[in-house]
Formats: sequence, C-alpha cells, structure tokens
Amino acid sequence: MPLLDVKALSAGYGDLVAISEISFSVEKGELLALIGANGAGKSTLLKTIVGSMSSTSGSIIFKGKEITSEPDYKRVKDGISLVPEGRRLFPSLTVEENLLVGAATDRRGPWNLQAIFKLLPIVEKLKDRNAARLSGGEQQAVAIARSLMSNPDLILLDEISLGLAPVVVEQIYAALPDIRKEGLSIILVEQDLKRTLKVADKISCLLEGHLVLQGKPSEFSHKQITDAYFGHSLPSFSDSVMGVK
Amino acid sequence: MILLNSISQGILLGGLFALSAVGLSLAFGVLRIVNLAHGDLMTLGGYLAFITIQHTGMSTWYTFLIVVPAMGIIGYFIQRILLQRALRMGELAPLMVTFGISIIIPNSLVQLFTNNTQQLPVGALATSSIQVNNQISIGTFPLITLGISIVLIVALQQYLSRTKMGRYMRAAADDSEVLRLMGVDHRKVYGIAMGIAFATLAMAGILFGMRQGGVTPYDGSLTVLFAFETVIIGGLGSLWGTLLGGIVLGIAQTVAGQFSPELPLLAGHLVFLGVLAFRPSGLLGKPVLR
Repeated sequence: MPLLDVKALSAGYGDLVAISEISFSVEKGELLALIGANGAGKSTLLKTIVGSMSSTSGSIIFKGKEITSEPDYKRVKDGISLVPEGRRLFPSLTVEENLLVGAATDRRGPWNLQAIFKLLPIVEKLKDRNAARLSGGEQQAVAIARSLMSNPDLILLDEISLGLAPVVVEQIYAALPDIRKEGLSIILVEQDLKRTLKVADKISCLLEGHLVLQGKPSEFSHKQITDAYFGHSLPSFSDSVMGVK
Repeated sequence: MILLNSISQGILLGGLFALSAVGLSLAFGVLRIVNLAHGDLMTLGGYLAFITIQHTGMSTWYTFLIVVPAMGIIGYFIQRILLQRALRMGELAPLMVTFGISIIIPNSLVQLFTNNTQQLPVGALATSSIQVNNQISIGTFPLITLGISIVLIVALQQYLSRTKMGRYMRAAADDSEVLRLMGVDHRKVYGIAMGIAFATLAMAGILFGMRQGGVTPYDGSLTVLFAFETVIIGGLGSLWGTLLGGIVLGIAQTVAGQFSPELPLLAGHLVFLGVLAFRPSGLLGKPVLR
C-alpha cells in the first residue's frame, strides 16, 4: 500500500482548471519530484494535497485513509506537512517560537528542538532571533525545521531554493539525506531540473495541469524530460488532453 | 499642587480607560476585527451585573465572578457563529456585524430597562480615599481600578508571550493560513481571543458603571470612543502602550476639567488628534512596516 495515493485529482480556481485528473502515488521513504514550467499546476497540486485548496473531483488516500474532504489542519495530524512557497514564517515570533508552533500536533517521532538543532546548527544559533530578521536562507532552514517539528510521514517542499544564494541551497540540500534517514517521504517542487533529477527517486512532470511524464529519472533521456517540461512534440500530452488512451 | 492632584486623578482614570481598551486592542491585533460594538458590550456587561444584583442581592464586586466568565463565553460564540462567517466575506462584513450589534444592544436595553440609570453600588469604597497631603487625596475605588488594570495587562502580556495558546494567537495574527498548516484550527484560536476580549470589556463595563454610579443604555457610544482613543494614543499591538494611552487620555481629561467642566472631552479628542497627526503609530506602537 503506498503512503499517499492520489487518484484522478482535479482542482481549479473558479472556471479555471489548474490541475486535471492527476494520479500518482508516493511510497514510504520515497522522494518524488514534481517538475514543470511556471503555471503548470505544481503548487496547486501541493495545496490540494495539504487541503488549503479543495479538489473538484478525484480522491486523496493517505495511509489507507480517504482524506479528500478533511480540513487542512487535520491532515497535519495525519502526518502531511507543507513547507510553503516563500517560507511564510510567523514574522513576529522568534525562531524557537516558530518551531514550537510547528509542533502543535504533538505527533510523536524523531524530531524535537534538540534533534533539529543538531541537524541544523544555524537554527540553534538563531533561536532567539525574531523571524522577521532573518536572511532568506535562514528563513528557509527555519521553515523546513518548523515543518519537521510536526514529525510528518510526508513532507512537501515547495520551491525551497527560490531566491536563495547557490551556496545556501547547497547547504539545505546537504541536510536532505539526514532528514530522509528516518523513512520520511518527500514531494519536492523545484525549478532547478538538474538538481532535482539528482535527488529524486521518481519524477512526475506537469504540463498545463496535466501529468505528461512519470517514472524513474533514469528511465528517460534528458531530451524526453525537457520535451515534457516545455511541451515539445509530445504525443502523450495531446492524447491526454483529447481523452484518448 | 492642584495640577498635581488632577494629574494623579488622571492617572487613576487612565487605568479604567486602559482596561476598557485592552479587549479592543486584542480583537484588532489578533483577529483584525474592528469591534464597533465594544462600548455597547461594556454597557451590556454593566447591565448583566445589575440583573445579577437584582436577582441575588449580592454586592457589585461579586458580580464579576458571574458576568466576566459569562461574557467570555458569549464572546467565544459570537466569534464562532457570527464574526467568523463574516470574516469570509471580506474586511467590511465583520465591521457591519459589530455595527449591527452596537445598534441592537442599546435599543434592547431601552426596551427592557427604560432610559433610567440602573444602580451599580460601590459600597463603602465609594467615598473612602487615601489622603496624601491636604491637597492630594487618592480615591480607593479608582486606585483599585488602576490596580486591576495593571494586573490584567501584565497577566495578558504573560499569557500571550508564554503560553501555547498565546503563541498561536500571535501566529494567527501573522498568518492564519499557515497556522492551519501547522495543525491548529485558527477559528478556535480566534474564538478564544474574542472570549478574552469580551471578558476584559465586561470587567471594564462594570467598573465604569460603578464609577458613574450606574449604567444607562447609551453609555457605550462614549466609552467606545475612549477605548478607541486609548488604543490609538498608545499604539496598536502594544498592551503597555494601551496602559500609557489610557493614562495620557485620563490626564488630558482631568487637567482640562480644572479649567472648565466642558473641556475634558474636547481635550481628550485634541490629544488624540495630535497623536494621529504627529505620531500615527501611537506612543509605544511600532511604525507600520507593511
């Protein structure tokens, strides 16, 4: 049984369909990378999985339980946590307070303040600092730490390297193996294709709200992936749009 | 010496203003709701105390034990049932809801109790005072009011900065959507914050009625003004600022009262306008960043 099973999921804003009939699954401990150009529907898909957006059809099954209509704050208790795009720390709280709010669900697991400080020493150094007074990279480290505090089974990382210096991105990715050590599953959304393909167990490529490519990164040539990314000469895409199997 | 006396009276009066403004400050700070019914809810608190006295014959001081928790619970449900729905419809809707409440309360009170003053006796404390020297005397009742106000502000400050729920309140004020992503239902947090706001305004309402010798249905239109002025003078989002704002407003009113009995209200408004003009973020408020 997969940890997360998404079946024919659709969602949109008003009349606009942002994602259409998306199906995929994530196994325990697996890292799935969602790739696709801007506006392909990656963030919408993440928001629908955590419940900040409601789906129009399809279903989401997590640990064997249907959670499609469960409110967002309950899904965190089930073990799904999102690191939102743009970090979105609580600016008037200190770093430590941000982490404590992250632990609101009281879920048991490997992560607590000590474990976080050991994984990311920079966070410990900043713990009494106001979250509004952090650099972008520091904010990102704290945002990931805050999500880990809920001891999730599945963590969704939305554009974690956006607007960060390459050296900082390097540091954050260096912490990834340690984060995954405990069998945590990850869905990663990232613009940097090269980096993504290096860490992903599985990739799913979205194009204008449709899933156009899915599988192990090694199964595809670089050209196949970039074609799917930009929508060049892709018979499977027009098939799925036309509804032809 | 007369000036010193009126300043000390002003400080004492300021305690009451601060107490009445704490709830307004909290509701705006955490929920971003401007509660136009704040003053009328204070009046309602005073009337609930009056009703309790009528039915039980207890002293006004004991009515706090009943009215304050009751108003807290009312606040929680008004938030959950009325204001939370309104919040979904944009910023203006909750304002309209509180405006509606501010019309319903005094009109219902007139229907039920007429326009006459309903007594809220202070008891022996009404006339007792501490004589500092032959020109300055400090009333025991206003001193108690100031004491309650300071204790409450310290307690609330500690609650917001040290407890889990206090942390959630500050987080909800920052970003309620992300708070939900941490597994906290922000509606519950809002409800509790509004409950606390209602409990504090009930306290202020009863004390205000006791100070005036009783309550009348339309008291709220004036007390809401004092509460707003206190919050603005002190600075939004700072509870210590609220205390300072109350004291500044209190001093302005009592000192002006030395010159003419018509001046206190005008002087208070002028200080308020002066702060708005020259220091819009308030005396202790942080300059607006966003």
